[in-house]
Amino acid sequence: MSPKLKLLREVISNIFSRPATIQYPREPAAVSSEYRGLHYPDLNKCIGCSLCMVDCPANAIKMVKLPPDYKNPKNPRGIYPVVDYGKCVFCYQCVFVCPVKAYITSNKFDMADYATHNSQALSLKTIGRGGKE
Amino acid sequence: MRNKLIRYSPWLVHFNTGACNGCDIEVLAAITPLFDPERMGVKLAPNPRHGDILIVTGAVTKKAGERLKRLYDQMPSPKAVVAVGACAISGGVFAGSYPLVSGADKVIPVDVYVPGCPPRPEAIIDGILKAIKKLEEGGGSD
Amino acid sequence: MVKYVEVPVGPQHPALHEPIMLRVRLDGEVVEGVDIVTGYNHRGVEKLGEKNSWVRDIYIFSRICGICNAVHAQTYTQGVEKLMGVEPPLRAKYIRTIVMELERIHSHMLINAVMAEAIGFDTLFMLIMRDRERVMHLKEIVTGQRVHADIHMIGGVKRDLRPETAEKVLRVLDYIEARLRYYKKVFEEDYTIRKRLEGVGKISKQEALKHSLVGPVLRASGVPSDVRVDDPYSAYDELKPNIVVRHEGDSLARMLLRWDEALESVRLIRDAIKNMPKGNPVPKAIKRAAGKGEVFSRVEAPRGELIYHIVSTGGPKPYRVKVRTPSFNNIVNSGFAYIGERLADVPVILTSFDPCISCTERVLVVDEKRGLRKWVPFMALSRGEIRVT
Repeated sequence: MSPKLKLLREVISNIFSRPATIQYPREPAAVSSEYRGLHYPDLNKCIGCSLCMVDCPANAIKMVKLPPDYKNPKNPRGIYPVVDYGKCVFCYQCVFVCPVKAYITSNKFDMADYATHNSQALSLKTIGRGGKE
Repeated sequence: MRNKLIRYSPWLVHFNTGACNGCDIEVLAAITPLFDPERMGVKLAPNPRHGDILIVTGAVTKKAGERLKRLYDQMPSPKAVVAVGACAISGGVFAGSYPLVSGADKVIPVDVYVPGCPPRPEAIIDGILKAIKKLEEGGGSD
Repeated sequence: MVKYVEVPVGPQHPALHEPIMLRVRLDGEVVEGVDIVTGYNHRGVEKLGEKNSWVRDIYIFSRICGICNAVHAQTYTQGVEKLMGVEPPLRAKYIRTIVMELERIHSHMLINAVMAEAIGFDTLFMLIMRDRERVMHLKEIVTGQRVHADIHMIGGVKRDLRPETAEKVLRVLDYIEARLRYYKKVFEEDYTIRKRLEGVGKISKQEALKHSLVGPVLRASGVPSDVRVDDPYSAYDELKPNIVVRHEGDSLARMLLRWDEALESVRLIRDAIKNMPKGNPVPKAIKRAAGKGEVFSRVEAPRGELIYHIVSTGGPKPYRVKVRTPSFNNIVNSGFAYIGERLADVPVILTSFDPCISCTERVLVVDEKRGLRKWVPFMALSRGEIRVT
């Protein structure tokens, strides 16, 4: 095949092909369910063992006292982890090391904002849901 | 008036202040065909003096910190700063190491934070869009 | 009478978005000498490694470099496993191999794309980057992240490879292989690329050995050296990779060699998935203390031989971890390759070495203290007497 014919074939196939671009803000992004995104501890399951804090390579996890009106017999020390998403590197070591699988994981990625956030509000919302998401 | 002028195509200045390349290849990926921010008129500026949005990646080292400040001063206002990745926000895993300032906001004012290590290209585009919004509303730093 | 014109290239680099500075001394348009200035990226990783526990260090060392993170994690983890006397399951070794080879493919595609951009062939850059996204997607479904794999754990891996994921990997690999062959052909036949790369930055076999260059740069000068074959780790003793060697030693040979290696990686991933043993690769408990001893661990990174020297005095933390990355050899020792070339070829030659500045930087501890304005005689640098600028 001559180079010109080859070129023509390439041009024609590209005219009829779909654009490669993902129109991101208008279309949802193609994120697989495996993606390591936003994660936060479920207070109904957490036993306050602090293993995730010990293993966090970025020191993003702090142990905080549970709210005074909430008592969990499984959590005798009354503390739970709060993840600072500004420091978190999403390595999921906390998820891996947790002995009771208390972390709720998701593939949410669009966390850009005008300030940094932590997982406290999300964790407190899990109270009373009885471990269901 | 000045907001009308920059409304349609804010240009990016990308500065690596000591990153592991992870965020850099994601910023690079974010300007390629699959994500293509040129739909929004966003493209890489050849020179900081042409730029409107500064993208900072990497745990800010003391040596790069001086240059970051100089680069920021060279950009015309209004301008916005997007800190991409855990390192640029707080130092990430390197926080507290001796050659680091740990966090771009200790050197220059940061407008948008994009968490992740590294964030997906979509998340970076999301951050850029939020920075554009801030610029249009007359925010951003002068 | 001014003898030289001095042109600074960087620290905001023309080709790669990484902070390195080349002070190029010119006589007319011909390069007389190059001083390589680094230190913009020094983060004190080795010191951090001494302060943190064995497990946390996996994540810290894998963040030395984003492009070759799984390789860093592999070198560190296999060293620590040797120290602790832990043997990971065979399936875990295969999964690690798959992740590392995916990384090699995307790293080689990236540097070839950057090379296309450096010589002004932007269309090719965009095309390669478009197809590279497929590889990134594979990395995402296998490990959970596009860049940082974070899959290594002492005594295994953190997540298993599901059969449907493995099938998807095989399916996408067919597409990637076809594209890799196509791009290799482009680099072989395209007039513009040949004109810019052929005969530029030539390194002979003797020079490459004398300056202890590693990886694709060494292999493109005709020296068959690959840690995957010489000192097999993980599953490479069963997969038997072939060494790709070229003899031209110029920039074009280095780029073509990378395409061949990427094709070889495709074959390795296929074989690894086909021969993957059954079992549970995820460790039930993590060992957290090591005995006294020291370990020397090496791995073939996409850029060459990566070496970790880990010293333990017992207890929960390493005493010392010394890292020697391939880019350190290839960038700091390669000053001689620029002499006699034109100024316009300097970014091309630098790109053909596949510089990874974040890897290089960590080594230059002395450098921060001494101050970087120090002028190093070029001959001393090229002889390798002075390792820090």
